Amino acid sequence: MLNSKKFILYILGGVFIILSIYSYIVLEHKILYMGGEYPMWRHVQNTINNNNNNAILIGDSRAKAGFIPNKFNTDTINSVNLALGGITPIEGYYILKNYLSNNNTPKYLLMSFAPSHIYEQDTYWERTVRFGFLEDNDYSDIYNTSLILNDKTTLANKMNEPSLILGVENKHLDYKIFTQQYLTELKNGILYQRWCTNNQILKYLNTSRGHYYFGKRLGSSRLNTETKHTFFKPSKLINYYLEKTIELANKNSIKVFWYTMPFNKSSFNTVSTTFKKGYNQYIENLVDKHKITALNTLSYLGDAKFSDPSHLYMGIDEATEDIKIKFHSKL
Amino acid sequence: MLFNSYEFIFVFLPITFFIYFYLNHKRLTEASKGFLVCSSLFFYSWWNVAYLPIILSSMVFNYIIGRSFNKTCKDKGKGFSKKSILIFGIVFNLSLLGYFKYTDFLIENFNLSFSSDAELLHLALPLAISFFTFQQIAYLVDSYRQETKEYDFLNYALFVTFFPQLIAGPIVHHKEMMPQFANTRNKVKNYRNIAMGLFIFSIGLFKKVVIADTFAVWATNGFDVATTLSFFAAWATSLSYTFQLYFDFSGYTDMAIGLALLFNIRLPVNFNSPYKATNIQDFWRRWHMTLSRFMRDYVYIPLGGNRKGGFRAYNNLMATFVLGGLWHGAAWTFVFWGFLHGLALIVQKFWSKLGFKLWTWLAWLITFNFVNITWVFFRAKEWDDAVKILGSMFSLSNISLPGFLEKNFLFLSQYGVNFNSWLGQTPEGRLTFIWIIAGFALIIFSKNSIQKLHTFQPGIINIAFTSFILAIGLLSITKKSEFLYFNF
Repeated sequence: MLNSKKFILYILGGVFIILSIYSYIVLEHKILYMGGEYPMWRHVQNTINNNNNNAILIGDSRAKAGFIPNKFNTDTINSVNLALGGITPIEGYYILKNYLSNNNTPKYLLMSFAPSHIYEQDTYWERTVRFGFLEDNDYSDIYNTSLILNDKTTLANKMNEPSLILGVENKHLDYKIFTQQYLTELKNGILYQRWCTNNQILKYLNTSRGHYYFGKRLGSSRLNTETKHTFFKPSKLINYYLEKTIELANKNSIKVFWYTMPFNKSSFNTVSTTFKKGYNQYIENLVDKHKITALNTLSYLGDAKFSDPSHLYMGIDEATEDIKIKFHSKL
Repeated sequence: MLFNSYEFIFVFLPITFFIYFYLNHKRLTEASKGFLVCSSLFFYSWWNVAYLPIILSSMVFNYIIGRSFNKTCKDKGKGFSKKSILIFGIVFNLSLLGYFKYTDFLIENFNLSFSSDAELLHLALPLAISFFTFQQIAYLVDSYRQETKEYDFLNYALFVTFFPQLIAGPIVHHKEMMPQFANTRNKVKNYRNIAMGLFIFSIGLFKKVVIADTFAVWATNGFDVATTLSFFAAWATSLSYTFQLYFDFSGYTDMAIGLALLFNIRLPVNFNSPYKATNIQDFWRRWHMTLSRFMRDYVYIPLGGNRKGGFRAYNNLMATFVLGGLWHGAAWTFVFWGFLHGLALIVQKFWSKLGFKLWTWLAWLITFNFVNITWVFFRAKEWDDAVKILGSMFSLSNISLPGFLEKNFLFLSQYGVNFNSWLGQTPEGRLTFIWIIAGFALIIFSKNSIQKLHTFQPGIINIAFTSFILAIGLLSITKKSEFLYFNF
């Protein structure tokens, strides 16, 4: 038996070691336990660190589901889908920036964000920060930019609680310090052996060059999130990063294309005319200001082509073909 | 401040611990006591500083009343009699408790009885008022009986406010606490006690944040969210609450006992594997033991106990349990819960008199199920909630079985049995089932924390065990999760 003093010290030491091992695993090996979204983020991280394509697509989940690089590619076009579920042009800017730092400069940049991801972010904290997708100074830059732009709402959305200890400007560090917030995910990871499924998803993404399905249901007539808004009003912060992305592309002589993934017919018929006009006008302004090429305006496909109100399933080939035709016509 | 919060574990507790023993080390014993009282009041005020004047005035009042008994002894024949002072003291305490806890209940019932429309006061219940009121009533009665006395206000304040037991007990007696605070050997750090304290605190933290809070999700879903429940989902709901309540409250008590041990204070045992009980009397000897002790000593026995035998004893028993139910909350569901337990005890006494005996496992099954079913009334916010749960628990018209049984038991479908989601309305159905099985294994086969404490040895196994559960407990503190008994 030990004496009590040693017992106490060993317990404190034991707790410290367990917490350290735990923190190391949850922060450094997310692929082992995170849910199904994570492998896509890891795939994009891997791709932007070591890949060479002459066409890249940056966008959100609608683009992730709706654009199949293997069907888009030709003898001269070698593309990869770097879209991610829930992201906005904020993350899009850093994807392009990091891609350029680690790869040959591509010739073409295809951008495709849903209107909803231009007026608000909804997964910046839950995914971008929680998945550790960016560097600490990137988060600080984004926060400082929001201050400069006097945009108090974009980052505040779905930010559970401001960090009490570190202040809102360092909220992203909460995810490194208070690692207990990954515990439930870790438990689920162990319970459902997610390391297997995550590796399978990663393998699939490597084969599909970044394309992934967001559901495979045969049709949806439910309404998408844009139908809840009467007006299209872009977020200052997101718009800033969208323009910054285009400027970065222009600076590197990358030709930029914009494609808006179609709505399902039910949503398109429901969303207000004011909203549609506002969005199309916004894209037109981008075209005029930055000399980008818009491949379409807000459009729709039949409900049967969608797996849910936002994501294509049966209509994926059609959408990819549409992009391909329009893209080549504008080259 | 919650025991299961980072601010408590990493800030309040270490600061209080080290300063308390530093002051004692410097032989500033009065200052150390004063510091502990101030820390405890700070701990109490963390929730809502508005409650501070209530506990302070209650403390001053009871201290004065307690002292006046000694004066009355000396000045026999002058002024008020001891008994009238005691009655005055008890009435004051019960009035304070009654005003905050039962006013709206009385108004509601008045409105219902006389079809009136008197407005409710919607008073917030000051934290821990039920506990510190009972503790001080016990002190007054003990002082009246000359079983204890207190001349020093600081000591008295320490007895009432000592933070490990302030919010939800155990309900302690003045005479069992003050000698410990006075003992000079308790004023120096005792590593054996710290080790044991850390050990049992870790168990309590684990019980609360890992086990109870997991069951809480399913219990809340069944009671408060789901509109209808299938047969198995209703049982899963009631069992989840049964386990939640036990692991929550006994977890709190373990933490309180562990924290007190850090300060070399031994709090009384409050739980002794209650769900192992084989009859209802046995259950009450194991569940919330300090409340049972209080109810026996200060309600049941003063009412006459079993001294007058027969019918009167049963009446006293029933009155004690109905009051016990009412103490837990101002609602008829609590009263009914107390009534059912009182009734069960009476039935059990008849049964014993007749000399019948049951197999132990059957006695356990009946007792456990009785407790489980009656907790439904204890938990339900409204009668309708209780009816919803119990109706589904005893209705054979809404049974779903696991899909894999469909092949062999398909014929049951003609009787309305379906084979889809058998714990349908319970989130994470299969997981709930596994946790319930684990809950049973723990309450039946495992030693309880106090038994573990008695056989505690600072060895490698306990290091590994404590480190692991403490680490998991710390990681599981993800949200503010109050203890259930804070509401009572």
